[in-house]
Amino acid sequence: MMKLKLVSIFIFLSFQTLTSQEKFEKEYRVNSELVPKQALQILETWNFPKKVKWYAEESNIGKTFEAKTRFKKHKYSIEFNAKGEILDVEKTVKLKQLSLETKKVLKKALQSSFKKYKINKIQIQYSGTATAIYNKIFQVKTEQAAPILKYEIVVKGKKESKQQLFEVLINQNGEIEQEQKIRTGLTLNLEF
Amino acid sequence: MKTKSLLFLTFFVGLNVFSQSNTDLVFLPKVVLSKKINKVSKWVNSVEQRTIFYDENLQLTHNLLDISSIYSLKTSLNQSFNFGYILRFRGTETIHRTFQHYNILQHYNALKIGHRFALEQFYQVKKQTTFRSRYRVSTELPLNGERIDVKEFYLKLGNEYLYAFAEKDLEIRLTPYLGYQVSAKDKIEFGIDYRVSNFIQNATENQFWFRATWYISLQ
Repeated sequence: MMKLKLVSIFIFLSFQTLTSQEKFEKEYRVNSELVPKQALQILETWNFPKKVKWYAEESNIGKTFEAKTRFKKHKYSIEFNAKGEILDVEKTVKLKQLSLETKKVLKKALQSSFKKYKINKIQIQYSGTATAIYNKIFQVKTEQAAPILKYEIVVKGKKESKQQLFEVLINQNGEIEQEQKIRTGLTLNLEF
Repeated sequence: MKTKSLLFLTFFVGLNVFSQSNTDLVFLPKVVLSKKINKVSKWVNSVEQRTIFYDENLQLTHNLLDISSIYSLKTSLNQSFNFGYILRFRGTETIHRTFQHYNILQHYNALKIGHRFALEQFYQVKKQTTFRSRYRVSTELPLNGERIDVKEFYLKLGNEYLYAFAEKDLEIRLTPYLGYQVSAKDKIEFGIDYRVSNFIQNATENQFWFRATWYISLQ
């Protein structure tokens, strides 16, 4: 009985400490019926050959929708705002698929920010009008303006002593536009 | 807060539900509490109880209690070493156990995989020290979307192999759990702990246990 009491006290004390407010953030699968019409129409016009999965993301800032699919051996993620306007398209690529020039630009940018780093994931980010992005993805030759191209890179990087996971947004000139730490979530349950 | 209270209640009131069953059941409630020491290390304490329910007279007994304390050292972003001690009370017996873990965590889009390699040493008065090695692989998958958010359910599947050197016995465990992310700092998991052992000696033993674990992290 004493042992049971001890366990209960231990749990009760732990419970008391978990009362802090949290940042609201939720990502979930949605059916296409719940996606803004404009976004659905864009995806219908683009007509990706493989299945498209829809996701919604809600946070304190607002709500966005994301379509995910595969096309020509690359993962694509097309992001829309709540009105269904296209925000950007991200194409996952491997480092070796980038040109030598691009690799040099990215390397220089990452070296300027990290003591040591290892690239985990590279996404080419296209933004601009839906037509400009479409022409780029589906390789339509046109006189129209090309979309804005940036690189979103996930790196395991070391700034001072601690290694952390970062998401870095680098433009074509090699300037870091954004850099944020990635939270890995609670992994206690996979370790103990 | 409502969900939290409900889970808290289920965690303990669940005991009564299981005592209604017609078969013998073993219930393993566990609480794991982690406290960050500095940038690279944490202190992890846990309490686990093994409760057996008998169907004949609805008798409830605690057949053992484990109290553990672990020092965990992160060697890189996804690797860590743990050094721990478990004190086990089983009836009138007290068993001391020390152990060393090496953990690797992998992250693939929606899927998280954890590998744990372990060595354990058991000490008991008037008995010889025994040794055990174990390897566990656990996978965690969100049930909605590609990320486990707060107030979302997930699935955790575990498979562990344990080898006791003295008995020359291999035990295999299969652990399917349903998890719930209560807040950014705590998770709760419910599921089955299926253990099969002694099959090398042709005396196979099967055990089905019900487990509930509450993981709490104090940053």
